[in-house]
Amino acid sequence: MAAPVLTRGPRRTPARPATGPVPVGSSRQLLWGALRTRRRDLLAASVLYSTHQLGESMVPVVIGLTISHAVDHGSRASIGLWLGVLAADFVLLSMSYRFGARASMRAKQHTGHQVRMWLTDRVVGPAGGVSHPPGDLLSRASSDADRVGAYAGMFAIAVAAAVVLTAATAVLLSFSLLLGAVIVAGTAVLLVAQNSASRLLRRRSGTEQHQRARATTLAEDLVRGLRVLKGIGAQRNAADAYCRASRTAGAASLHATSSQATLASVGALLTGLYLTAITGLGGWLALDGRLDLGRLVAALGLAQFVIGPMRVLSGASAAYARALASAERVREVLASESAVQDAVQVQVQVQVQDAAQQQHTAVGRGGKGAGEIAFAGVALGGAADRAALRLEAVVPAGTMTGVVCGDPVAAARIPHLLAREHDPSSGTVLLDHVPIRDLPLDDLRARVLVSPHEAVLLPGTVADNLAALAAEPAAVERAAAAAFADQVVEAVPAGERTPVGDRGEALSGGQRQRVALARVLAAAPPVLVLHDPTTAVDAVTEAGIAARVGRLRQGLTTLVVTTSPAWLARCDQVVLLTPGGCRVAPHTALLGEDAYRELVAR
Amino acid sequence: MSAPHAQPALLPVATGRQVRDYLRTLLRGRRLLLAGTVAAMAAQSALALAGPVAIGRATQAVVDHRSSAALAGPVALLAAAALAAAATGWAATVLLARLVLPAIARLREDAVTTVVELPVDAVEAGGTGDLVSRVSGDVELVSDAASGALGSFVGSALAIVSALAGLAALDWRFAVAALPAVPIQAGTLRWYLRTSRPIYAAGRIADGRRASALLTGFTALPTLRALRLGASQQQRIGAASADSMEYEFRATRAATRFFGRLNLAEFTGLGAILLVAFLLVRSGQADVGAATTAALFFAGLFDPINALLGVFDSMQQAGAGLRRLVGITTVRPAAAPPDPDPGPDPGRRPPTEPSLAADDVRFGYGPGPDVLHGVSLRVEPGQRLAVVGTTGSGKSTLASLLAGLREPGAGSVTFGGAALTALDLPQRHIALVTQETHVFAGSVADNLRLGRPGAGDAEIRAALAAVGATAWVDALPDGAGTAIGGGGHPLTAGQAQQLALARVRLLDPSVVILDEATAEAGSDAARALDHAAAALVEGRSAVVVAHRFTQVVDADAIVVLEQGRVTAHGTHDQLRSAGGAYASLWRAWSQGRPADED
Repeated sequence: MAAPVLTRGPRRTPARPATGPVPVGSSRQLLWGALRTRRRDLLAASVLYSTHQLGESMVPVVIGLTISHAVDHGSRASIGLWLGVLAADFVLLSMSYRFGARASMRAKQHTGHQVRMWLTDRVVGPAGGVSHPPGDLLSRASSDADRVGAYAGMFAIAVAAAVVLTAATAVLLSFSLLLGAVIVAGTAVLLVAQNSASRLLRRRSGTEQHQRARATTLAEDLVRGLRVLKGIGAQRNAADAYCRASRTAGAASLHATSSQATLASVGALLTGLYLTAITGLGGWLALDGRLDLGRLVAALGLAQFVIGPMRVLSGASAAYARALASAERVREVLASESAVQDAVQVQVQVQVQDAAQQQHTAVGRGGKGAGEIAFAGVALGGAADRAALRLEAVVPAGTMTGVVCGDPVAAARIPHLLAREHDPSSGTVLLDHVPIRDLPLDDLRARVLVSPHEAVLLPGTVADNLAALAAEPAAVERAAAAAFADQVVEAVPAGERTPVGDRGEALSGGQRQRVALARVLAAAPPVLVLHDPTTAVDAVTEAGIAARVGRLRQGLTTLVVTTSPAWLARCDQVVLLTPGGCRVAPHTALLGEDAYRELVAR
Repeated sequence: MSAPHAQPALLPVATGRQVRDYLRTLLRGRRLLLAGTVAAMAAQSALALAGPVAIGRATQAVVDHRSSAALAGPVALLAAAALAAAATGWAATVLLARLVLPAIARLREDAVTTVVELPVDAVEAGGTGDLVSRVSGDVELVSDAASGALGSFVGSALAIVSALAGLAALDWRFAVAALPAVPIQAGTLRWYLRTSRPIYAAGRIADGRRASALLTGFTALPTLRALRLGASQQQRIGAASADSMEYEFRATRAATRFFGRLNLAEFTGLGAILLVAFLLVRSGQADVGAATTAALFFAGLFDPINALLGVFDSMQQAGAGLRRLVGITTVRPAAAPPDPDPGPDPGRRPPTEPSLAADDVRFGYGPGPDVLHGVSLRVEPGQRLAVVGTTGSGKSTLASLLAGLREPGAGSVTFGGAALTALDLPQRHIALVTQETHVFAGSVADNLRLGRPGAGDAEIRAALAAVGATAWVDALPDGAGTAIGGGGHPLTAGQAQQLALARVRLLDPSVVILDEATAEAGSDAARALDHAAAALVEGRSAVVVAHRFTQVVDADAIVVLEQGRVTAHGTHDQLRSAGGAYASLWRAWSQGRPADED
């Protein structure tokens, strides 16, 4: 199958697969591990940003020197010389910014991307065990990954700030020890004062963000549930609730903004008074003859300039804390315990050579006689009343076998166990006499294909979904016919090129089920496990599907967990699972039993 | 099943003119506040000139070897300016917030209010992801810009204007010397806007695709594992993420080139001013202090220019977001005719029990072929009508037409003789429940109150009891107050659907349409749901679309739908003996089932 074309737009940098072990020991490890993957970009950006900042800080110095050496009655040659120096400084600062910013953006984006890939790789990986709700995962994979990336983007800026601050301090001290010391100390005091003031006010902005986040959540929820709301004409009630939340958020924003305005004004006032003091001191030193004109102008320029880098540095620790918090939220997911252990890893650790050997000889793909499933005392569930339900049965290779279970929760466990969503608390499931726990997950799932009842279609066209598991057009066509999915293709507006929408929402329930069924049939696996595959399909179609699937699967093993007589009538044998035990018999024979009749009569 | 094109048709994006018109209506009647805001901002930026003036005077004092008393003037000027700038800055920020924040709140409320009125077709065609990203992501972008970037944008613009004015006031020749920078800056800005605007717009869409790929993956985990599609989904996510990254790189390349050209402009202007200063000082037409002031004025322009252009990024992104938000409001249905006579209190049963009728209804999705070809039927008050037919026969489409969610292409659907299209919110009287469930973030009671906002606790309890949900709701940590949906307590699909039925119960409509409402919940809840549905239908008119005949056999009337046409109509016994499609459906259903009634 050709991979569906999902993205158009620019030529993209190939997504690099996550290589090497993912650092999940601690949030700190994760953060720095992610940054380390972009070492070269970070180094380049740090060097170039430092050069840029030095160039910027030299602009007032060069202006000052130009004024004192050239403008103040210098020669023509001197003005030429100093303008040349100014030009050189501009070329330096401009070019270093250009390439520094690009390197920094690469570091930022790739770091975020890397963290996102680590996270999604774990979430969609075969071992399962991540139980966070989708919306929560989305925010971790977007905002949190991006926030870790943003720290990578900040990193070089902070390094450059430190470098340029050191250099500016050195220059100022060389001009005048007194003036330099006052400027550096004064700036530090200024920022400490501002930071403590802002901490007092941060709580207000926290409330504002909370209110806004709440409004956003409401809006999102409203859109996702819109069809449900519209069905009962309740959309305006929901919109009213949103408008109320929006107004609360608006009031909080106004409140927070006036706090910020106060903070900013106090900051501006302090800075203004500080610069006043520096100007007074510098002017006095110059009048006293202890500072020449050029140095005075340069020093006043630098006094203003160093506020920037110092602010960056003082904000860096807060940015680090934010990035760490995000890294921790990603790490929590990465460190989720697997729902099941993959035999590949187990084998390496425990060296179960025997089992591996056996499995490779007996279970070679398409090997003769492959496809027998045996349940040996498999406990279906933990609840006390279900403890009694133990599945003890053999599904002979090449048969279509139905499983009828009165307890729907226990019934749903059977496909889950075969797909190894989790392992049974006791008992063993065997595939061709090998416990499935000893098979590598990928191998098991290739041979035993389980189509969950709530099987989800993936975005793309109907054709993409039909062919998702099989390459051969003939096989796809046969499967579509067997599942009556060819009728779906005829019914939808653009035929097989019709997009199914997010999660297949553009199709009706019955259409979705048939496409999902055709999808797994096309793969023609040695063992196919279905769970209530046609609950949303009408009776005639259901009977037709059961008959055609029976024929298509001739010679292959098919296990159907259902109470639908349409399917059970087509089965070679039916396993009736009751708290009293398991009975295996043909459908017609079981119909004589009251318990069975009651289960399939619905 | 509606999107006619291979690529989902996204909702419209507003044009610049539409956005301007919209903003104008938002700011109508607030001109005084607008003027006050601009005045405060202008005053603040003019005060920024005091610094260079004072420093220039101090420099001149040094050149002239004056006594230290000469410093008193400049120092006092600086201190006074600092005080005044702090005060005007505070006023500017607060006034701007008062001007803009309520407007933004109205914009987002407008957008959401419009979204809920969008026809279902438009929502399905555009995709939920696009809408979600508009009402959350874009709203955030615009709100952020309004409370941050906008202020520094306007402030910087004013600072630039006043610095240029200051330069001119010093000596007109300084202002002339600064001029060569202007064409470079103007050209650069035009180039940048042209280049970066499409990048930002496309980048936002790419972000939406990334979110969509992530969410699809995260909601389909068991399927991905079972079908071994995890790796390919991971690839899609990777591709979508790399794609959105690529737009960031493009934007950065454009931005850095932009700043490079601005550096050139800075150097050109600064060099020219220094050269003019050299010439003027040399010829005795200006003193060193003025030259210093001029150079500092110009150097003081760098920051506001960079700030202006630095927030251009967020202003542009907010602009793209704004266009997408206003775009939503442009799809407002041409004329939603609110019932001139509002009639009965919505949500309350009308005094008489009107009948629901479809008359020769035809319907097709978009440009596709018709799905319904002239369907007529009638549901009398208190009657229960079952609709059966093979999958794809048009049952769900018919259900949504009967509930007034879609408009017939031809023919009409009437309720008590009035066309549904002429009624406001006909679903308050004719409620539709499909197999699609959604648990809203909030408590169990909040979820139910969406049906009737004023419902009291006793009514909530009664509705829960009616659908048989009391037992499990009471078992929740906080009973009916337990937070569900979003990050709250997880519910099964069956429980979610029970709540949906309870919600309808609370709404108490005259007609209930159940479109396979109990079909897709895992079989565990199916029985409980069947009971709940039966209880809901009791005592009102109902249309039941079902393929399980247990819900069909005892209906008052049954219509058989085949390929968009009603091919038979009658009771179970009549239809069964008449042969045809119904009889074969019945045979297929009852085959293998124990004969229970005859």
